[in-house]
Amino acid sequence: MNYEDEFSQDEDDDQDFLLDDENYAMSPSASQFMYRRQRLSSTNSGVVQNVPKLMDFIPDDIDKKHDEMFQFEDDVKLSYQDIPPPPGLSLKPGNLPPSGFGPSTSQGKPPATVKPIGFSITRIGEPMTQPMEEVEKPKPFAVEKLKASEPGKRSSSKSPSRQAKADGWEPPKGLTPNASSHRLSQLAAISSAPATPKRQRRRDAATKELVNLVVVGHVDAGKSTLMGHILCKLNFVDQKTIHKYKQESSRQGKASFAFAWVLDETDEERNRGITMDIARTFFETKHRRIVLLDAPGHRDFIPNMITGASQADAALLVVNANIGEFESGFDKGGQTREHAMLLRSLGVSQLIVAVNQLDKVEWSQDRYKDVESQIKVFLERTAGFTNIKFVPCSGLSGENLIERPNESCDLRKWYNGPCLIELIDELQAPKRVVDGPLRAIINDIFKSTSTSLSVSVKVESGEIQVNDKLYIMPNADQALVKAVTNDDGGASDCVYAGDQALLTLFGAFEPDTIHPGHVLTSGGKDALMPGRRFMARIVVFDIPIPIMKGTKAELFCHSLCEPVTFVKLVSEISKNNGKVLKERPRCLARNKSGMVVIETERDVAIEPYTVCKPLGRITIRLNGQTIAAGIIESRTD
Amino acid sequence: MKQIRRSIERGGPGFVTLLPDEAEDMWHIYNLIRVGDIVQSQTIRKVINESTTGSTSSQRVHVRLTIEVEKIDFDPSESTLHLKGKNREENDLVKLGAYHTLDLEPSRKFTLKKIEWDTIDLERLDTALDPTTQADVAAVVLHEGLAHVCLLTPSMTLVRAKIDMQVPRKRKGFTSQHEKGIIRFLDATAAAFLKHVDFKIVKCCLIASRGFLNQQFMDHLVAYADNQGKKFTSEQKGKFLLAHSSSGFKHSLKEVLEDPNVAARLTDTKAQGEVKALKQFFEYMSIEPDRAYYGYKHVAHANAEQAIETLLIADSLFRSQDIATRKRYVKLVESARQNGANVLIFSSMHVSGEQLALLTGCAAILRFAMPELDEEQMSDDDEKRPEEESIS
Ligand SMILES: Nc1nc2c(ncn2[C@@H]2O[C@H](COP(=O)(O)OP(=O)(O)O)[C@@H](O)[C@H]2O)c(=O)[nH]1
Ligand SMILES: [Mg+2]
Repeated sequence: MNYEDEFSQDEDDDQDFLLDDENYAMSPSASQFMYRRQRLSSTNSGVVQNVPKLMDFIPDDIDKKHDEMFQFEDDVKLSYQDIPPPPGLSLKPGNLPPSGFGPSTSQGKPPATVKPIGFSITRIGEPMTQPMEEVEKPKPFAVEKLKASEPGKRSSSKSPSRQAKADGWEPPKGLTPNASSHRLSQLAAISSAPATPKRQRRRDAATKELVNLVVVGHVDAGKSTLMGHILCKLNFVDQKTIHKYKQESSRQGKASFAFAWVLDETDEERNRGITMDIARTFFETKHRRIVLLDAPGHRDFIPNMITGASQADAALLVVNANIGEFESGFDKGGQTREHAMLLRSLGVSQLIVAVNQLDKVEWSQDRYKDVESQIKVFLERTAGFTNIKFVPCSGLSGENLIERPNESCDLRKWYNGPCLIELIDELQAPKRVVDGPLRAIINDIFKSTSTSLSVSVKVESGEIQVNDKLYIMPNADQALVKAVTNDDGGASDCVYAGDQALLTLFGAFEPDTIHPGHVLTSGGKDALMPGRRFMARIVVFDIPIPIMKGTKAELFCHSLCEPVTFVKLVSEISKNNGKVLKERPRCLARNKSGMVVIETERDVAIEPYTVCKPLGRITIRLNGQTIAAGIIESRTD
Repeated sequence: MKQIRRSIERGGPGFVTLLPDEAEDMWHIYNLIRVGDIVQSQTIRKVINESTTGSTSSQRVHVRLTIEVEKIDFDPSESTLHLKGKNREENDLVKLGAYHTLDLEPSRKFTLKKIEWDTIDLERLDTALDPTTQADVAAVVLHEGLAHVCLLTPSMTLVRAKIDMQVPRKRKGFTSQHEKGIIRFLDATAAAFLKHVDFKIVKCCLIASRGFLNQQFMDHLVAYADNQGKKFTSEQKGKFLLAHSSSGFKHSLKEVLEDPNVAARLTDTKAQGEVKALKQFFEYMSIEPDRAYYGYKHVAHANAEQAIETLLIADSLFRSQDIATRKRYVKLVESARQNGANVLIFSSMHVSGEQLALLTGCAAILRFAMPELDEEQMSDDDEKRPEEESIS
């Protein structure tokens, strides 16, 4: 008998076990190093120059009370001001702290090494000298000279992946290194790959401006009916289709839902008579192209509403004016308030309020005034909207939608202002970050094979052209843009920040590994680097149970929804002046504000608010309730 | 679990020989065995014989291994415990001091020897030997594209299957893609359910989602089972309970178990007691925060003042590889009990225990308010992240 041999298998085992141990000890720290180094290098190179500005997201309203911000009570003073504040907003310099520490603290200090809390908090009181500037970047000289239309130059200069391959980062086939270390090296390669040169192409100035409009409000306020009716009136739904809907719906005894069916397309939605997921469609007004996002009003589907609202530039809040119905939608438990607060924390600041279903109250002006004033107090004082327009209408009978009421309508007796479509036509498109680094958020994957993906994206920054070589974060999958379709249907070879688009991507994709909330980025030092631990500044909503260390919840950011844990409560801060009230508090109770460290279970594609606003605005929900909203300050893994 | 032999001195050395029966037992054993303990069990090894002519033949022989434990891995999905360590008893097959692995699993007898059996160990042993097996519960939490199929035993929540699929959203003019995606997802979830849920054991099946997906899944499951020739009997159908959860993430199970309708259906298990106590702690935190504290420093301080009414403590703290840490918490438990506190040791294999573990693992509801504690900084210890566990 040979005893040595018989246990050789066992010994192998034990070797594995030792190696394992080594890996355990090594990889986290190694990964930390890798991540940090990248962060630092990109910070030092001056990409991240702006420091978080509290006013941008949780702004201090200088001459109002701050204590009760975000509370859902009416008696509360507003303190939740908007980004960007309307030009000409006058500030009272007297109320501002001295501005001495602005630029000197902000430059050259990588947030990863300095104490990030103190660092950013000193910024809170910084005056809004240039609050409107977008993340401003020094324009590289080379860019100016590079014409995208020169095909030869373009293909040779931009090819991050090819370049990267030459650097030897792509492992030879058949050799499968440790997956995570492979991904790390891939991330390193992506950020050191040459950036896609900026291109000079711009959308034809003559095209109408694009506005992404989300329609929100309590369930049964009439959102879908209203928008369906408008689409019909504007001939964006053909007569045959609406005729069919009218017949089918009345056959099912749901005739009043015919217009809603334009947007509520799934069987489930039609059978139940409620919208369950965002319906996205397109229409044009005289001066605008509108991407319409019809949100569900039911509280269970708020996650879908958030996805829609996070893509929006403006919102239409529909309220039901009918006696009792307005009240139930507006009281606690109704969605009117929560939707409005969410819009506000998602950065949507232009708001039209449609006081709907006035046909049910015989077009009573008193009722209209009553509803308007109640909503107005809440929206201005509590939610902090400054840019609100009101319009009376009926989505079902169609008055005051695309034309002002005619003589025969009772509304005419007391209203001769603009109709709804006129207000929509006046919505402003925000300044788009077209020359920023590419950030396109995947919000749907509707076809996927191992070699190609059809995805729907919202471009938040930068632009995408056919043949671009991109990366899908957080998994760093490579993708080649094969086709681009603008969301208004037409094929197009380029889409810009602000656009909704359909893309066909080529690459090697594992099934079910790419999800909504993944982000397309291009190579280079501006590339998005995913992470799972972030420092965030949050405002706690009016919730019964305070946030504690270890609280597990769901993180919403752009189209992403991931489980998240509060791993550290860093400090409680004053909403008034941003001063630290308490270090390491035991909990953050309702309406408090604080700095926290949050951690997701897997890497996510989000980044500091100062780098890209839509990727840095977060909402946190638990048990079907929004518990906090805030901004990402820095990545801390 | 059966006890075959026992010779233990309370607070001193001793050994016990046990025969585990089921997954639950393995969890208890995992909580009993620590680095430094001696474990002895039979195992099978392949022995290769080489004849004088040079030809070889292999043979499977039973070997008795006695190892001093250096590493413990628990695999809940396989219900096995992998131990690694140095051999302590030489025999003709195994050299002294050689590294070996030893797997423990249901129906495999073993002996555990410790230098010190403390209160927590002895309690754990008693719980493990208590034959009153409680009702088992199956739960599915889901949202469009994500489902967790779980089994809930008295001390564990086992995720039997996680279905994570990309379901296309509704898109203008292409609703069938969404509907097909949902069907594909429900099919996968139903298949996982049938594979993992054994109606002979399970007394109650919770199906929880937001919106109407729970009902939709239920209908789909009934039809799916029918198609597979496993038609549900009306008795089986009676075991289902639809509930609300705000998502399909695993942590939303907590929300489901807190639902009074669900709680009423489940017999009053230990797990339910934990869910209730944690909920109560959170409620105090919101209305009377001076009566709710967490973290070792604050809790120990409150205990010194005999202020603790209920002590909530995660069992992961007792698994600590650092003996001093374990001792500290054992002491805290013993002292709190002496002071009349109700002590609840949470299983970190349940969602409520997982949540408590994240909240430093140690929390207390006080008899009276102690606002002065709030002034004290939390200790650095409590800032540490919960230990990485080796549960695979
Ligand atoms: N009388 C009247 N009914 C309306 C009006 N708008 C919507 N409705 C009805 O309210 C119900 C809910 O409408 P829907 O568009 O699905 O509401 P949503 O949940 O906000 O999208 C439907 O039966 C509509 O016919 C309106 O202006 N007047
Ligand atoms: Mg609707």
